[in-house]
Amino acid sequence: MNALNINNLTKKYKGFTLDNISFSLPQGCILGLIGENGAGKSTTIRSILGSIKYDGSIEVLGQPVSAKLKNRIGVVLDEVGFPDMLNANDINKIMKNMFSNWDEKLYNEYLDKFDLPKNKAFSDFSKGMKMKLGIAVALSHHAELLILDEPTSGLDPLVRDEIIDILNDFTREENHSILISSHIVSDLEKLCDYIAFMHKGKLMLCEEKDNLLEQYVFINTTEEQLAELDENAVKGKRSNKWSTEAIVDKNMIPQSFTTKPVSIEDLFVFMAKEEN
Amino acid sequence: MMKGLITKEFLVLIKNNKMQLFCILLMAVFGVVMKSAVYIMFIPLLFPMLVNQVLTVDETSRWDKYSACFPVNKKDIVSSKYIVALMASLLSVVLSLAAFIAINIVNKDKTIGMNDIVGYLTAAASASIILPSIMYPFDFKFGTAKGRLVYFTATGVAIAGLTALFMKKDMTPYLSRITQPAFIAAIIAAALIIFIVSWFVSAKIYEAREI
Repeated sequence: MNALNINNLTKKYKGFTLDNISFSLPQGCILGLIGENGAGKSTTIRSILGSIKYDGSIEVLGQPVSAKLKNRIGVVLDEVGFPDMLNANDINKIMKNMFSNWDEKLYNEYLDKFDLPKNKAFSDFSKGMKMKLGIAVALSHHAELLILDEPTSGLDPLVRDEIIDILNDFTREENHSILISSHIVSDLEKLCDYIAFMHKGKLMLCEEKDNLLEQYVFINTTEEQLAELDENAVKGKRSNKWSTEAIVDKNMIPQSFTTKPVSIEDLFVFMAKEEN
Repeated sequence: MMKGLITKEFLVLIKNNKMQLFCILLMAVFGVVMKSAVYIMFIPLLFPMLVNQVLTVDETSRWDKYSACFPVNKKDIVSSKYIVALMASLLSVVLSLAAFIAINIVNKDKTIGMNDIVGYLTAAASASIILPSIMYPFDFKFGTAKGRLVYFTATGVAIAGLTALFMKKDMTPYLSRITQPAFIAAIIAAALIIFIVSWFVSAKIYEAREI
């Protein structure tokens, strides 16, 4: 079963359209939504959560999203929205009456593990602490699917790394899945099994990360040589007056080319620029 | 689920408004010390405003967006606000009643009559129900900042209109009947109907709103 199925998701705003997005997240996997700011990642996540109206269909854990189903989903948004005066103990009081499967013991364990104070007001938390509290809440009701919208945005590299470790721990259970969006591609590269590229409201690709890294390579060539290749082979290029660097499909070019491996970030940047 | 939302409403209400809640208690004390109902009547007017203010906290803290993460729907969120408003209304009536009883205990020579107390409490209960009933739909539609502006404008226009309508009419016969049981029941019933209609309208508005 897929943890998430999105079919033909479309949402129109003035000046922006989320255009016919379809992808699936297999259960037990991590899918990273990569895209620049304004690419449509948050709109996709808000649609999944039912915060906005949309065209198309979305199924989570095999059923349409409902309030009851959210007991099985953990969500962390880019801004964790707890009222300033509340502390971690207050949050516990609220959540144990909010989630049917809230695990107070587990929550307290996460607070200790993340080194979060229980009586300090939320307003006095650093951005990293706020995000960790949001993650602790999302993990403390035995969710099967975690949905995270830019959880590492604006955080220092140490905290980002810590959060990625936490998420890796979560997926040790084989039915646990994660959908995570970020414009910090390096974070997702460390974490994800599947990668989806979003650019200007469109889904450019959605594939297994290892396949992408296997399939696409860098070549150093000239404009003339590049023009001789199948145009579908070239995913993006960068030229200056001495040479041309291109990302190409390894299976569609002659073996005589010297190739270099690409990173997911390179692939996204080159593809997005080509699309522009 | 609803219990979680109501718990959150009360925690925010208490933690964000300690001084304001103290001032409301002070109004009751002033009323007793000064032997005046005027101070006590501030309680049902101020208390719903504090409850209503929690919605502003939701917006500034982005709880309104964050609540999409929890197993509640938009109707539950609206309902939690109305349930807490109703509880606050009951609390303000109980507090007002306690203050009136205290006045009569302290001031044995010149007590406030039962009819007057019932009249005051009717006014207290209906005001504390009607005020949030009018404010919430505007707040849910426009957000609290714009909602307040629309609320004050609409209220101003309504008061001006009613004043113009009743300016030349003698209201004494109506006012003298204010302590009659049927009249009291009618006022409370009207307030409750306004409250229920407002609840329904707010739920519809909030369900249609994209957050």
